[in-house]
Amino acid sequence: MGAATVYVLGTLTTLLCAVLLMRAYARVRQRLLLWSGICFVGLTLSNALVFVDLILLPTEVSLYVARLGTAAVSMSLLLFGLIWEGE
Amino acid sequence: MSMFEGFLIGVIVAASLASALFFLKFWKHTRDGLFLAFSAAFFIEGVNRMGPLFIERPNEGSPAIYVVRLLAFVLILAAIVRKNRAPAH
Amino acid sequence: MEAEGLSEDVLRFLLDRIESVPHLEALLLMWQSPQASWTREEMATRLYVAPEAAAQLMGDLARHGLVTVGAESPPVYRYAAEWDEGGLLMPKIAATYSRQLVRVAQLLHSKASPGVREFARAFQIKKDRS
Repeated sequence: MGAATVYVLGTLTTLLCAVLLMRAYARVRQRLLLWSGICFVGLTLSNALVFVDLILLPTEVSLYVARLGTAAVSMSLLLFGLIWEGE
Repeated sequence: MSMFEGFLIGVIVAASLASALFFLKFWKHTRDGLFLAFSAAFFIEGVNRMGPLFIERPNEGSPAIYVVRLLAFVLILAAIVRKNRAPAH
Repeated sequence: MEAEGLSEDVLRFLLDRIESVPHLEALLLMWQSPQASWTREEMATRLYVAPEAAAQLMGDLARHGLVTVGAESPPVYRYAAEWDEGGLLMPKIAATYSRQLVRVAQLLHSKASPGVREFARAFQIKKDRS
């Protein structure tokens, strides 16, 4: 139960960041907001997959690569945005 | 752990630590605590992501790993709350 | 970040509440005529910027509590003297800006880019932009 709470809270946090960033992007069209927003959308997905994988799915099925893959793509996009739009 | 999984972890760790450095620079320029929180969060996560390299069944993680991740997120949440409570910044 | 030679309170003010040189100039302009009010077109003319940019400047200054936005339509902007207790800091800022123009400009230019500022602003959930 404690583990599930941690996964859900993590998902909600990244979701909040994603919503705030995308909302701001819709308003001011600042590219850094877009890239970081997409990153947090991806991290939300990655966190949600952790919940699905470890709580909902049986142990024979592993979403590990999907979890890692979405996180890797998300962080790469964030880094791209920070480098390209940060200054 | 397969080589590909190790590779993905490497990408995550490198990108997280690099992002943490960027946020640290932004904090230095703006003195806005929000950036310090993001920097700390991504730094913690970057180091934390290496945890699975050392455990038996990395795809299950361990409670410790997820608690540390939660700590990183709580830092961000706290900074957001603080930003919205302070008067004008 | 060149900060030597600027007194602590002026430095803090510039770091915390002034986004750029045009912001500072707008504020100084309004401080010099505290009873006056400006529309964004008037402000745009005085600052040699587009009206949208002037509205953005005024919005930023209002967010930091330095300027008030009147409820009239079209909105008018006034200097909000209350933020500076005793009216002591503004003269100091004005004097610093005139005597150390290069240093102040360097400080403001070395501040974060618009992308970074907007990132921080995205997390202000209560919006009070004009």
